[in-house]
Amino acid sequence: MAYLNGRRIITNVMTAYLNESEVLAKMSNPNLLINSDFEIKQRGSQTFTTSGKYTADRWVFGINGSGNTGSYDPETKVLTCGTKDQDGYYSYLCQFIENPQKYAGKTLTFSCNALSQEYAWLIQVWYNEPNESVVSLGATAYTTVDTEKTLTFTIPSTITANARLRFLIQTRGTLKVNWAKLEIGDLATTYNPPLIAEELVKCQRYFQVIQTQLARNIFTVNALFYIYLPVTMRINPTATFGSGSGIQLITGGSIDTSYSLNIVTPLKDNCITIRATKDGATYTDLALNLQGNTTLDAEIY
Amino acid sequence: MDDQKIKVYIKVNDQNEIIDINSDIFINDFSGWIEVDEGFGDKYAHAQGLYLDEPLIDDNGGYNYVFERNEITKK
Repeated sequence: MAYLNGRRIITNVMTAYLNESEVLAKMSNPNLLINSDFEIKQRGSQTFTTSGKYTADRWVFGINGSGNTGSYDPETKVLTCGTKDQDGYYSYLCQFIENPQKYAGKTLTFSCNALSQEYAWLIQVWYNEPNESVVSLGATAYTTVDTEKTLTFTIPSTITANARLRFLIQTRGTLKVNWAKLEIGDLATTYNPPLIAEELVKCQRYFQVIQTQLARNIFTVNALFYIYLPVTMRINPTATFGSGSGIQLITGGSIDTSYSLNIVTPLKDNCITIRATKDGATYTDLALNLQGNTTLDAEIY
Repeated sequence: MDDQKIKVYIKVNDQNEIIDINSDIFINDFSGWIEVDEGFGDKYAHAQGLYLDEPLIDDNGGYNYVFERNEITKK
């Protein structure tokens, strides 16, 4: 075994026993998917059953097939399809990629590790430009016994920034999904689990939960409150104010939820501005009180 | 495998001023909402902050837009 400055030199050891492609596979490319092991769950750990909604961060849960049902449980990472083992009926998890034009003409490899608890599963890549039909850039075969699938495909050279490029994991039954990886090149390299601290920051570019109380002493009909976020978001987020959010006298009293709350200025760096407005209001010394289920959503749809 | 377009909805007050705007992605109860447009992309999905050029409310607390004859216009 060779060492340099106290560190083991693995390359020589590897090349002694492996051919070139095996060496490359042992090295690990960066993963282009975020929250690849589904550990970040800012939306909660409850079971999701509504198609088209985000579940674990960056992952959309979906159901296909007329009258079909399904679910995704972020706690167990189990994806379930209600109608079992029928053509055209499946549940899926998918992730949209930001700035897909960066990969125009490139060959990518999508891989996934999962355990089928019943019936078959596959991985697939969907692509479409605005107002155009969705096309599949590639799909693996539906199988039951495989625990790892790999798909290599090429991104169209004409892809635009507004294109929707998504990576799907589909099941006709019940599937425990462990991880997924997307990388540049035609080889699936070793999967390394991401650090949770780094992954949360990446996820907050797309979605954040906020809870805060900010006070102002000047207040009549409307007032601006500035909120600094831990991460700059992708675009101006859509705010959904948590139940019970509103304006409260600094000296106490109940929260007045009849104030209109809006994000009013374009996002600048990591600061958003929320305006509270109420016709005829004459109070001063008020606080903005955002309850814990207030969310900022800048996800890709 | 075709995607459904994202719909944009508004709410208006008695003076037809637009008091709220959002996409169907974020609306659970559609009562009181008026559909005004549909399409793909962030402009439609995140209509609350991206569909209109200016905020719904101006610096004095007044509304910036009205909805009349099925059109959104700046006041």
